This record gives sequence, structure tokens and C-alpha cells, in this order.
Amino acid sequence: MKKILSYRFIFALILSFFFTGCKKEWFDVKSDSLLVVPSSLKDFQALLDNDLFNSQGVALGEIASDGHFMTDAVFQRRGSIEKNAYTWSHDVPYISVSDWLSDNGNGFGAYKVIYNSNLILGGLIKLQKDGAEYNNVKGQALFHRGRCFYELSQVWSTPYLETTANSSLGIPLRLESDINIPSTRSTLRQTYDQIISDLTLAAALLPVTSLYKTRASKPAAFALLARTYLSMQDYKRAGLYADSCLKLYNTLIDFNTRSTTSSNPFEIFNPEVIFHESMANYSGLTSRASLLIDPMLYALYDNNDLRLNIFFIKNNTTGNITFKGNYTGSILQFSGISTNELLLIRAECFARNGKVVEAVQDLNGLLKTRWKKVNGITTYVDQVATDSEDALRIILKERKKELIIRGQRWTDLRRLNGDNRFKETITRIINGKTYVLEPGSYKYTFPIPDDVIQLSGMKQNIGW
Amino acid sequence: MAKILLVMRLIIVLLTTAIMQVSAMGYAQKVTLKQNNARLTTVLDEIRRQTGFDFVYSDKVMNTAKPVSLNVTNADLNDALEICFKDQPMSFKVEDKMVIIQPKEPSFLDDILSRFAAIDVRGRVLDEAGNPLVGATIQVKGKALAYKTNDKGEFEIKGVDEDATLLVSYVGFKTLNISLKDAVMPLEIKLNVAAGELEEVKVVYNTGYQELNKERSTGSFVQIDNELFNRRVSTNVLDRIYDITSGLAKNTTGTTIRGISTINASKEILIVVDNFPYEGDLNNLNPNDIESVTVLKDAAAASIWGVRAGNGVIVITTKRGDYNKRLNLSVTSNLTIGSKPDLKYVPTISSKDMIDFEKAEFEKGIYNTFDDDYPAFMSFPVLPSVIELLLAVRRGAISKEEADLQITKYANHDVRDDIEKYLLQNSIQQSNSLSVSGGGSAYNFFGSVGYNNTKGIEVGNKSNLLTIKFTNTYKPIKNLELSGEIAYAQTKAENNGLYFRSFLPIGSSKVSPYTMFANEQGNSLAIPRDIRTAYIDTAKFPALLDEHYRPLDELNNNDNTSTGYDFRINAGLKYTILTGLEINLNYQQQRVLGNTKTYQNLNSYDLRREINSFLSIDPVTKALIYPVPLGDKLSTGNSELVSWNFRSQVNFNRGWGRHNLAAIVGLESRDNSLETVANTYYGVDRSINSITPIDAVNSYPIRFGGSGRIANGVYIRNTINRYASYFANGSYTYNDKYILSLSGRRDQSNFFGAKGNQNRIPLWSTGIAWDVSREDFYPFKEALPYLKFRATYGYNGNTNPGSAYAIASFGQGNNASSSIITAVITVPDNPQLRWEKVKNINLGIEFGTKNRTIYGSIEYYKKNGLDLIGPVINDPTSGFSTFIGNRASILTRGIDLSFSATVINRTFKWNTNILLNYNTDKVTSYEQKSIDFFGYGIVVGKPLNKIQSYRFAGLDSEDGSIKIYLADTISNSSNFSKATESDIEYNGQANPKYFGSLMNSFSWRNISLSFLMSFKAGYYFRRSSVNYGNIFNGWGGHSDYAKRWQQKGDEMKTNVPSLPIPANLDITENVYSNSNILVEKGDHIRLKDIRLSYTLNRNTFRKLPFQSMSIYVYTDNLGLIWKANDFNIDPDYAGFSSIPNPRNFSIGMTVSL
Repeated sequence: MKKILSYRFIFALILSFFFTGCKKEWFDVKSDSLLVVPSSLKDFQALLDNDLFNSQGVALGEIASDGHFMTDAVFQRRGSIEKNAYTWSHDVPYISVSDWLSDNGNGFGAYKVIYNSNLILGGLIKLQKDGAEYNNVKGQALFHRGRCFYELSQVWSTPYLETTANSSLGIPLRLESDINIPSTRSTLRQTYDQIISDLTLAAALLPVTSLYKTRASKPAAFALLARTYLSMQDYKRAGLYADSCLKLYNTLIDFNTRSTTSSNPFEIFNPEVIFHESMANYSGLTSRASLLIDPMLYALYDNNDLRLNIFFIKNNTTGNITFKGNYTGSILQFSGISTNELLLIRAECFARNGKVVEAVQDLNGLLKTRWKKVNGITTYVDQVATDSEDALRIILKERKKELIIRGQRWTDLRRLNGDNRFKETITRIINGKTYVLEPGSYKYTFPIPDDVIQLSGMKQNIGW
Repeated sequence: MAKILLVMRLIIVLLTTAIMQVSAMGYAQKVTLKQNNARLTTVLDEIRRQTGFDFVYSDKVMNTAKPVSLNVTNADLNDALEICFKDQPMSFKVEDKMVIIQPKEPSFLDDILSRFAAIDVRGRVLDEAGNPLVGATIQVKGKALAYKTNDKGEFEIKGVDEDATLLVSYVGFKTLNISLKDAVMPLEIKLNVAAGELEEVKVVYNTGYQELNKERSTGSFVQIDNELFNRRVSTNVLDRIYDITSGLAKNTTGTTIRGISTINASKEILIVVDNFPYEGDLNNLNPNDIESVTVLKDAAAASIWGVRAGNGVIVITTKRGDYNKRLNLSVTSNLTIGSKPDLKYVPTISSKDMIDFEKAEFEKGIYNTFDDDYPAFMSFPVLPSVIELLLAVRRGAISKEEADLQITKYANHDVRDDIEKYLLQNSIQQSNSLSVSGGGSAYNFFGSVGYNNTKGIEVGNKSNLLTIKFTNTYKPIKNLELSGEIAYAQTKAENNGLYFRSFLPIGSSKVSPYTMFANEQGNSLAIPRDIRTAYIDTAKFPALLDEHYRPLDELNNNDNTSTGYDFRINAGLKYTILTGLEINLNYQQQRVLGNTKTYQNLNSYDLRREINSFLSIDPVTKALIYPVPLGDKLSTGNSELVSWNFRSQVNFNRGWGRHNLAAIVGLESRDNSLETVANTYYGVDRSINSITPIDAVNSYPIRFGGSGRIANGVYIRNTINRYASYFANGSYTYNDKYILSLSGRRDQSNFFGAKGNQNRIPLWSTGIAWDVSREDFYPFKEALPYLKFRATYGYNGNTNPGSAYAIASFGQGNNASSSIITAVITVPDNPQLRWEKVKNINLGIEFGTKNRTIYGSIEYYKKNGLDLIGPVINDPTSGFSTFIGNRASILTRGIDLSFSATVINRTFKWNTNILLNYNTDKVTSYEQKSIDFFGYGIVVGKPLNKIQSYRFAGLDSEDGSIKIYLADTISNSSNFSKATESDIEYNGQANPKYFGSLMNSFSWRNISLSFLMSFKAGYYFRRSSVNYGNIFNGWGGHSDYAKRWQQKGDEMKTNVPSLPIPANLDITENVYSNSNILVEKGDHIRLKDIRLSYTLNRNTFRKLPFQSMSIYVYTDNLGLIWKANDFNIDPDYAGFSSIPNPRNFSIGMTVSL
């Protein structure tokens, strides 16, 4: 009897032990080692180091730009986004285009970068720390947000004009990560104010040299400010920021050191690259057989210009010219920041601000590295400009040649259209149908995608 | 005694007060009766009513009873019974809560026998008719030795303890316990046929927590018993219960119990094996070890499983030993041969049509640049063979005649013939199983070994499975029962076959319908893949490995094995404190190890390509550099799943007077962890087991441009899921007529994110039942002696895949560095997220006619999926174009009917089982307007899975383009984007509204035949047709291409639009594929299977060397008997590339020794 009693006692003990239940800490274990609620600086840096931040350059503008073209056959095989962008039209309708900013609809794109940046910036407030690492992470997040706002403003809002900045529609500016908050359109001024504020703050926080060229740095932030002011036609500030950038980093590649026969003459993170970024991967842009170079543009390159064979390859049977001068080291198109672009910005600003000598000096400095050397002596002959306008003309021509398929041409077309000296009309003929993009046309601003309009109720751009 | 009370109090403190009060009351054993010359059964019935004691007796014995007269007030049960049985030719014995009535045995030798310590026992075993039973088993209780009767049915056992009990058994007869104390030698033992001896067949449901008497349940269960379960031949447990489980449906959208109640949360049915959720592969269970399967359908049945019960629960109970059961050895063996899948069922474009299309494209100049770009631009997109030939003619590499000859050969070839000839084989499955069971008075066991050997349908795939299970139960002392189980499964599979579906020319993969695997001599041929054949043929780079892809050679180039080990141990302890009050402790640990090894030898295509792509030449030394070494490649993956469960539970089950209470209270905790590790090794030399290290850190130039790193395939991941739950469940029965049930549960887990996950409201259910046939006023006692109503209400839950916080998934390596840690947000933050709930209502009627000739149930249910988590299509400028939120609710309603009838019950028997189910669902709220009409777009007021379409308005007589109705006027398809919701036609639900099955079983003597038919009705599917996008961008397509509009007048004959100009491809594709011309009725009747069996047992064949033997043949997947559509489409396999399950033929036997 006693034995049985003791059994009962043990059971009672076991039961009462388990009734006290499991400790709260028992549930604190992470359910999946690969999943983390990002909350530390390390987590945020890991997010910023995702290829997402360097691979989603807004590419619509480049597709719509001149200097290259597609054959009818190639055009037919393009997706609807590329077709519309290429013909500056809304010909192909859009139902549930889940993400306009990338071709595969897998949810990436500039706004995804913005979401991530906002998430990080929100998380940093909670951390309430400071120090170099904190500043670096915060600077990077601001840099990317400003960068994406800038890239989006070049396709979704009208070219910047001081006179209409308060009334024109800007892009949806998202400053918080909460997905439940509906997007609304800002004014053009708010858009540019935000870009400049993000980038200025980023420039103050970022280090002069980043550990990797995939990470933002102070010169990269200066460069983006230069780009932004250039698009606003504020040539004074654009020149100053280009100069600030070049003061920190100004390495150029001597093209004589590059193979003219290589199919990839430039490696990823080559010495001219300040910040690495590739455009969203649209097959029309990244298939070298699909993207053909305008022979008129090709004809502008001098025979001693090494870019002729480093940038391009010409098929002698068909006459087709293909671009291979990608600064990405791959078939992806480069939309990042490099010293050659900054030199051209500074040169243009010098020219526009009446500093003809400095302008031409910058240009010659760049082109010298592009020209063939014979027995160590360059074949390049320094160019001279008679006046500001002459310098500007030379520089803008070289800008078009040097920055081919670098995502900058669209913005150049938008801003130069207002100037009678430089405005251009672009035409394309597809399947016998002619498409024309006239200077100042509403088509220089892309329509907001149908599903964004439907889901958010925001205003469509004028003309669409 | 005081001590006992003290300890008891300690235990009772742990119970709810309700139960405590009940315990204090004890249970009534007092009887008040006044009867004069009443029938004994009437008196016993009354005693049962007053005491709650059950009486067990056979009709045969009771027929000899004499009338009884008694007049007692508040008498002891025992005293009352003494009076009743005073002059009866039978005696009674009170055991637990039962009174067992047996014929009285002579006892005049008591005195003499008691003087001997051991006696000799002699006797004869007879059947009811007095015929001797040959080979009957006689066992002395508690002893292992068993004796058999001789050919006269006689036996003799020497030196048996005088107090011993004999167990006499014979297959098909009820085992008899004979106490020798009352015995006269020689014993004359008559065995009764097992079936039907006791009037009431007790059906017990196992919910995984408790065994519930069907009579006392309010919930909705389906139980598949052992016989029904074993009717079908299949190695998978679940395959055996489709079509015989009311409410369980397997549709193209998934397997469901009573339809859908969630959108995006887990749709998985919870599978419980021996009381705990099963974490391993269900294929690792030996079906021969399964005793029964219970499906829990409504809240009262399933809510005990809480947050995982939302989609229903399937409880699998494996076999265990029985106390006092003689040793039984059973062997089963079967062989199943499956035919090859019918590839011709897939309506692929003909080779001729595809070639004509390719020629036309070539003429248009689509491929003009291809030769020019290569090699100059290093551009080598892969091309179909015909285009390659046409290009070769154009550049003068071959003559036009040569090309035409080859193209003609292609035109007459069908790749499906090659797939069938070279890649497929008849599947063969052998399975053997042996089991042993038995038990004494304090110990029982069950053990089994099973072995399966399978040859898959793809050449090169085979697997085997070994299962071992041993379970035993031991009663070391009174009231204590210990049980233990060990289950082990080991699988080994070789997966060297080629996935045959990837070679179907359906357009989404780059396979031409005329692809040839071998030439006329049967030699393996290269087929285009990844890069242009013309490039491979002329590549000049030194030392390149051949880069052709030859499917038939690939069959020999891989050595892919996977092995799995599944250990499960289960220990249980049951202690009875008082009659009806038990403590139950259960522990289970399961460990599943998986291991895959994928060897690619140097001839393997993928490895050759990988080596080639990194191959380079040192610019200085001109030496070849092989970043990927020349040698085999080995990829390994290991996973280890460890799951443990602990449950402590108090069971209470007791009756007093007219009351009965069955309740459980308990708690359990659970921990599942899974670790996965993968690695890849290069330059493997299998002869000496060496590897060559590679540099996975630095980038190497890739020959086609750019640079890249060698994938080292390293992967590590841990997941841990923890749960703790409290639960209680009780059912109160009054007078066996009224039943009230209550159940509640609360779960906690370590799931990510939402705070709601940890502090959630408890899930509960309640139910009532009324056995109206037991009422005095019940008028149909003769016609319908059993009629019961039940109703339940409650909530089940479903776990939540979303998170309140943003969740990042971590990885390693980006463009800048391979060692850098990177992260990506996989789930955006949504602080408003809650767990899903499913509100359940179930109303049921059960009825049975006399002798249960017809037995059935009708149930109506309503399930309200609330706070459903669904993909919310979001403005992409927020950063996520979809996210997971609680945005919807669904109402699912249905009726489950189930009937079984004995149509003929003589020597020839005919039984029919009918299942009829009705199920429909509708989205009752959805917080956003859908912009996707056709796919998974959610529309309020419509079922979740639905078919909607554009209204087809014929083809244009000029260009054959498709026209649709917009606002009731015929419109060009290019206007389709103007379609509003009112222009879209709703066709119906995509899941069957009605479904069910009919099983007829016939038996005559030892032969039985049964066949199962199933039907589905009231639903629609979209038939596949030509997809021009696939034809333009892929290399194959649909056979409807031949039916397309080609010239004026065709619009009268066909509904297939003309080949659009490429610019209109998207429109045509969108409009045609979503038009109602492709919507078909899904209704069909299917002959599922036929089984014919022949059973021999000693009952009929006395000389049989074993107890019984059954031989059967079985065939399944017999195809459709009738279908509503005219297109030869099996609606269960309506997708373009779906193929009906191949037919199987099985032969097998079961022998019981």
C-alpha cells in the first residue's frame, strides 16, 4: 500500500510541475535561423549589401533614349513595358503590372529600395546610437532613398522648371516603410527638395572611401547632387558638387591599357567607378544582339578614338553595331557613378558659367585617356573653344559619346529640349509605323502604371 | 486510509472544481425496483438505467432466462443481482462498470479439485453446431505455451494450476475464457462465432487525445476501419482513404476536408499518428501496421487540436497487442504493376505544324541576325534543330536537299514516342510485411517488419523501404499500465532518371515536338540545349569538353541517391487512481535523418558546361586554367529533424445513476527542430575518395563574358518550432439520451512576429446531442430503432505565415564580396496581423433501421473562415506589390451524406456504401477590389476557386482574331482592357459542388468482389488550348494550333483564333485563354477500382495449415465512365501538361498463422 502511495505522490509532483507550464523564455528562440527581424546596425548593413541596392537602376529612360535601336523582330519579342517605353506610348495595355520598374514583376525595383531604406531609417531611430558605423549606415540609407527618388523623378515627373515646380506633379514620396500607408503624389518642388535633403544629409554622414564600391560614399553622394542639380539646370551648384566629388576621387582609366578585342573590356568596379549600379534587367537592354547602336552616333567617333573598338563591335557583314563597353563587367548596363561622367558635368558647368578654359581643360583631360597612343605619345590633339557656346557644343557632343547607354541620356534630352540650340526630335519606325518624340512633348514624362493609379487613386500624368 | 485521502486531495487539486464536485459525489450503486414476473432483460435494463452499469450477455444465454420477481428499495447492486440470478441457469460477475452474464458451470467437483495443486485438463473444442474445431488454440492464461486441438477437436494439457484460466480461441470465433476452478473434465467447449454475439457494436473514435464512444459524441467524425482501409492497395496511407471518407476531397486545388477555409495560411490537414502530430514522411508508415483512421471534421471533433485544426484532422492509429490474445502471425505480400503514363493524352502540337511555323518565322527573317551575331558578338542563343538546318542551308554549309530530307524525318517524328521508349518503364512495386501479436494477462505486444521495393516510372528511379515497429504494453502492478513503442523506417532511393515532363513539347521549355533521342541505329543523339548547336560544333577554344546534351547518355552520368532514417519512440504511462480517473503521461520523440548525394561524373552535361564556362588560358604561360577542376562533382544535403512531444493528461470517465461524465484536462509541449546542411565538392575522384579544393571566394572570367564565382553550394539552416498548449474537453451524458460537450484549448508558440501569436484568444467548441430513439414517446421504434440528432458550434484555428515585423532572410555574398553577409526583406511589416479563426457549425442526424440494414448520417455544416490571411494586392510604390494581411472572410457550407445498406444478406451478400457531399464556398468580405478577374483574384460573393471569363463572340471573318462581348455588343479583342466587372461572365466554382462515391461489395461463400465509383459535379474547368506566346517564344505548343483560323470561312468551323501578329500576342493570349469558349463542365463519373478476393479459413477448410488466407487481385485508376465535356479531357487532369495517373494492377495475399 505504501508503495502505491508513493507512486501516486510522484505522479502528482510530475503533473504539478508541468502545470506550472513552460517558461516565457522557451518561446524566445528564433523559429528560423535564416529569418531575422532586422534591428541592429549589422542587420541594416546586411540589407544595404543586398544586390537589390545596386541592380535596380530605373531603366525606362534609357529604353526610350536615342543612340540605339531595336529591329522589328527584336521589338516584337519585348515585354509590354519595354514596348511602351521604346515607342513613348501607352499602346500596350497594362492589367496588373505588378511592378513597372523591373521587367519580371518579381517585386524588385526602385520603390523596393526605398522601402528598405525607410525600414532602416525607422530602425535607426529606435537604436538611438551614434558613431561612425551608425552614421555610415544612416548615410547609405539616405543616399539610396535620394538616389531612387532622383531616378524615379526622371521618368514619372516633368522636367524641373523653377516656374512650375510648385504646381507640377512630383513622384509619390514614401518616407515610411508601413505598407498600409497609401501613396500620394508630391509636388515637383517637394520631390526635388526631398532628393536634395536626403543626399545632402547622406554626404555629411558618409565616409570618403567606402569598403566596397557597392556601398555609398561621400564622393558618390556629391556626384548624385551634381546629377540632380544638372537635371534642375542649376549649373552653378551642379558644377560645385561635381568638383567636390572629383576633389575626393578623380581616377581615370587610360584606354590604351584595355583590350580592343575583348568582349568585356571593363571589369566590375573598374578604377573609374565611384559607385556601382546596374540598370534593371530588361532583356532588350541586356541582350547584346538586340540592342543595336545608331550608325550616326557610331560615325562620330574618330579612328584614333579607342572607344570605337572598346565600346563597340561592328559586324562587317550586316553592319550591325553592338555595345560592349559596360562598366558593370557583364552584359548588364551601368547606371552607377564614375569619374568620366563627373568630369563632363564639371566641364559643362564651367562652360555654362563662362569658364571656357577650365571647361576645355576638363574635356581634354578626359579625352586624352580615350585616344590611341603611338610609341607612348598620344594621338589626341587638344581641342579649343572659341567661346562658352562653342565649348558647350563640344562638351555636349562628347557627353553623348562618352555616356552612351549609361542611363543619363534621357535626362539630358529632357533638360536640353528647352534650349533651341540643342533640342532634338527623335523618331522610330516599328512595323512600318512611325513614332515621333518632339521636344517638350508630354511623352517625356512616362505614364504612371495603370495598377498604381487604380490601387492608390493618385493622379495620372498630363497627356496620358 | 487517511493517507490515501491526502494523496488523492493532492491530485484532485489539479483538476477543475467541477470535476472535484463530481468525484466527491461518488457514484450510485443503489437500486430501487419493484417487479413481478418480469422478463429478466426488462429488469436488467432498469438496473442499467439506475446504476449506469452495462450488461454483457449473449442472446442465446438470455433466452434460457426465467421470469424474475423482486421488490427492493435502495438495495446494493450486488444484492439486487443476487435476487435476479438466484434461480437462473446463469451466473453474473461484476467487472469495472460491467456485469457479465455467463451460463452457470457445474461446481460439484470444487472440493476435490481444490486439493490438487496441479491438474490435467482434457477436453474438446466444438463450434455451435457441435462440430469439432481442428487446430483451435488453447492457452493457459499468463503462460506462453499454446496447445492445438487435434483432428477430432481434442486436446490435453498436463500440470495446469487449478486456479488457472484457459483461453480458447479460433479464428472467426469469439475467444472464451474458462476458469478451471469450476470445470468438469473432460471439458466440452463450445465457441460462438465472433461476429454479432453482442447486440451492440461499440464504435470508438480516437481523437488523438481520448477514445470517445460514438454513442456519447456530439461531433462529426468519420472512421475508416481496418477492413475498409486495407481494401485498397497503396503504400501511402492517405491514398487509401480518398473516396471512402465523407467530406474528404482531392481536387486539382488540393486535398481538403469539407472544402476551403483559408486563402493563404496553411491548407495542410493535420496528420496525427498515435496521439501526436506526425512530422516524418507519411510514406514511411507501413499501411499494414494501421489499425484505423479517424477523420475529425467539425469544431467539437477537431478543436481539441486548436490552432492546427482549421483544415481538419486525420488521426491514424497503429496496431497494438491485446491482452489475453493468443499469438498471431500474419504475412502479407503484394505486387503492383503500373502502366506507363499516357503521353498522348497531352495535346501537343504536331511536329509538322511546328516545323511549318518555324519555316514561316524563318522566312519572315526573325533569325536573320543569328548567324551574323555569332561568333562576332559572342551571342549564341539556342535554336531549334529545324532553324539550325535552315541557317546552315543559308550559309551554304549543307545543301537544301540534305536539309529537306532531315526535316521530313523530323516531321514524321514525335518526341513523346522517344520519351516513352527511352525514359519510361512500367512501375513495379513489391511489398511484404510480417506481423506478430499476442498478449497475456499483464503484457501484450505487436511487432512488424515490412519491406517495399519500388521501380519508378522513370528509367533509373528505384527505391526501397524497410519498416520495423514494435509496441508493447505492460501492467507491472494493479492500476498501472506502461507502454512503449519503437518504430523505425529506412528508405533508400536512386533517382537517376530524367524528369520526363521536361521533354514534353508544351512550349514553356525549349523542346521541339520532333526532338530525337536516338538515330535509327539506336545511338544516342545530341539535342539543342542552352546554347547553339552551331556554336558547340565550331568552338575553337582549346581543350573544351564536348558541350552537347545527349539525354540518353545523361541517364548514365548521374549517381543520385537519397537515404532516410526515421526513428520514433513513444512511451506512455497510465495510472488509474480511482475507477474512471486516470493519469496519462505520454512522451514521443521522433528523429528523421535525410541524406542526399548527387554525383555528377565528368561526362555529365551540367558539369561539362560548368568546367567549360570557367576554362581560361593564362595570357603569359598559355597554360590552361581550370578553376572548376576536371573530376566528378558531388553535392550533398543532410537534414535532421528532431521532434519531441510531452503530454500529461487527466482522464475522467464515470457514470452515476443516469449521469455520465467523460472529461480530459491536460497540457502538452512540443518542440520541432530541423537542421539542413548542404555542401558541394569538385574534382572528386571516387576511386580514392579525394577531392580538389576550389576557390569559391574570387571571381573568375566566364568564357561568354563577365565573371563569376564557383558555386560551393554551402547552406546551413535551422528551424525550431515550439508550442505549448493547455486543453480540456468534456462530455456529459444524461440518461444515455442527452449529451453536452465542451472543449477548449489555448496555444502558444515561438512563431515569428505578431504579438497575437503569443497572446491569442483560446479556441473552443460546444455541442449537444439527443438520442431521440431512446425516448419513451419515440414512435418509430420498430422501423427506425436508432435516431440521433447532434449540433456543434465552435472555433478552430490556423497558424499564420505573416508577421507583424519585417522579416529579413539572410544570405552570403554579393557583387562585391563572396563573404559579405546580405539580407533581404521577405515579409514586410504589418502590425495589424492576427491569427486566422474558423467558426464551425455542424448539424447532424444519425439513423439506423433494424439490425442496421440501413445505417446513415446526414450532416449540414457551415464554416466561417474569419480574419483570413490573404495576398493583398498593393500599390507597388509602397515597396511590396503584394503583402499578407487579414483581409478576407470565407463562408463554406456543405452537406455530407453517408449511407450503408445491406441489400442482400444470405449466402450471397450485397453491401452498398454511398457517400454524397455538397460543398460550396463564397468570399464574404474582401477589403479590396480585385483587379485580376481570372486567376487568383478574389471576388466578394464568389467562391475562392472560381471560373470567370470573357464572353466569346466568335472570330473575325476577315483576320480570324477573337471577338468578345463588351456591354453586350461585339467588340474587338483589343478593347479588352475596357472590360469592367459586368462584362465578365461568372461560370461557376472550380471545385466540385457535388462529389461522392458508391461502393458495392458482393460476397458469396469465400469470394468477394467490390468496386468503387466516384463522381464530381457542379463545377467548371478551363480547357487548355493554343497559347501563341508559347509557340512564338518556346519550341512547342498545343495541338489546337492545327484548328486555328487560317482563311476566310474558317470562323464557321473553328473557335481557335488565327495566329496573331506578334504585337497582338499578349491580347490574343489574354482574351482567348480567359474566354468562356474554353470553359467546360467538370462533371464526371469515374471507376476508381475493382477488388476481387478469395478467403480460406479453417472454418471451412479444416485441413488448412494456417488459420486463414486471403488472395486478392486489385486494379485502380480505371478511368472515366462518363464525362460532361466533349474533348476527351479528364477534368481531374485538365492542365495542358497533366497526365492521368497510370493504371495499376495488383495481386496479393494475406496469411494468418
